[in-house]
Amino acid sequence: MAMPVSEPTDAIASPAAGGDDAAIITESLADPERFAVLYDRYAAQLYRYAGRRLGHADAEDMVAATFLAAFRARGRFDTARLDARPWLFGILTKELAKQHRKERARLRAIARACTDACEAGHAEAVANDVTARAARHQLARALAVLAPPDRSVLLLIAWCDLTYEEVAQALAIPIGTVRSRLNRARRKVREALGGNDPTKEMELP
Amino acid sequence: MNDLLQLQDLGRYLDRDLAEPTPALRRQVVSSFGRATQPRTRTRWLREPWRTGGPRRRMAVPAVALATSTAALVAFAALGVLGGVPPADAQAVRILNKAAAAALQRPAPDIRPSDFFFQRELEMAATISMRYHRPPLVSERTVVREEWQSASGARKGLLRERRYSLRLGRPFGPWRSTVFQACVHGKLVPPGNGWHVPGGRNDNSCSPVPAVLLKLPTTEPGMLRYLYSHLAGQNPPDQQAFITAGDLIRDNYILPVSLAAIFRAVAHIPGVTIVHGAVSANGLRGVAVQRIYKGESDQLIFNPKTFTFIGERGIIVGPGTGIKVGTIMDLTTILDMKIVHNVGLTR
Repeated sequence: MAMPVSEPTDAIASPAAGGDDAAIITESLADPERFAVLYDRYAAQLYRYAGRRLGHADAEDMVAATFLAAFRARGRFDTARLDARPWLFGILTKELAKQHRKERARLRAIARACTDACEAGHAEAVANDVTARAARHQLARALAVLAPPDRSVLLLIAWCDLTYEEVAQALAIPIGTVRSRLNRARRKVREALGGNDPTKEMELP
Repeated sequence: MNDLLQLQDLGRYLDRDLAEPTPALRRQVVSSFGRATQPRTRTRWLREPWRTGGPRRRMAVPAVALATSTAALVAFAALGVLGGVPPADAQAVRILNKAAAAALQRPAPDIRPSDFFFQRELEMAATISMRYHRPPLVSERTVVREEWQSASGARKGLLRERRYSLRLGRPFGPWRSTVFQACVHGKLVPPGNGWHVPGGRNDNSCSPVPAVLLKLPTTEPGMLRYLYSHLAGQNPPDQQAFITAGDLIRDNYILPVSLAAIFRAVAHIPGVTIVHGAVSANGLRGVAVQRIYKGESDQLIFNPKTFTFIGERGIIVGPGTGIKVGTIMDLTTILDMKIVHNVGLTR
């Protein structure tokens, strides 16, 4: 069951616009340049996700490494699955896992930067904005201390709009593991947010 | 606002400094697919599934009755000459003629359709990780591979491989096995998706692909014509003909007379030169003939004493690939090959 997230994701090209992903991958075995269709469909989504986790400077490396790894592994793609998006995000997650120290340092830096910005902008900012910044600071700090596998599950669902099934497929783990990792990660995030919703008070009339 | 919505807010906040992926990134990534469209061997990319867990495919080679005339030989050799490529050098021609003579000495066993072509080989392959703004990262992986392919294509085959340490000179780790489905009366047995099976298609139908090629041309002009008319890859004709020759030799059992014809035909491909001191995967120093295309040298390596074919090598020899000169892209050494009666037998 997918989480009811509302963030729009980049539109996935319809199979009619050049065939479903499985067909493209199969065709790319005979005609490797066909694989570029998958790049055009998913590079922006992968880039955004990698950029959020590692920053702009590393996002392009991550996307390049993901597509190269996917291209080389395309013979292993299960063509019964028409959508390659979970598969590509799974490969990207493996690439990101190699950078977990860098990611943690980035999250800590974001937490610090947000704190500074929150303090500096306090005078002119409206209260809502300040509260949102404070939440970002707490979130970044919470994400930094999550176990990398838990963080991946949480962010694939929150940022990539993947369903539980798709996350299970992407990470090659049972769906029950997805649930338990997600529950654990969300519990820790909520605890970091103070055990309750920090914006709740601002939403009251 | 719950924690997931707050995470999404954080995501949008982090997007502030993020642009779209640049056109330069697309060019770099997609051109790396483009490089693969110029495979050194057709089976190079067909093999890719095996390297990553799927079975390896061989080249489908239909029996073709070919006219043999010296006129054809001259015409095909002229393809390269007209393009400004010099003919094969005299030393390379001498090596290939000796290889042809050695091939004719190879025993020709009595082969039944139920038999298998067994091959044991050592393969080192480089993996290239593309990195933006930085040179590609090259890593190596070597395996020892044993393969039993149905002589007729109508029996199930087996392919298994195990990691191999070149430094220690011995294999390690578990065997990974893949069964080749058989093709019986046009259907895969056991049934299944056959896109990665020799001659197989997605709808469970198939055409048997024999591992033993009995109907290849046996003459030099006939074989040259065959090589130029089976250009499976997207390389220029001369390069692809050289590549097709390597594919045929490495992936199939070929009768001695046809094998000799292949070596003699290669001697007519323009741009073929000799390489001294080529080293096979198991450290055996050999003599090789090569053809260079886009900075990469494809080499067929022979035993310097007996002139039997011992393997292939791909090595970066010039600029244009973005990979350091001297990098070995792949290295295959044939350790054993013979006809056996059943899967699992090696003699």
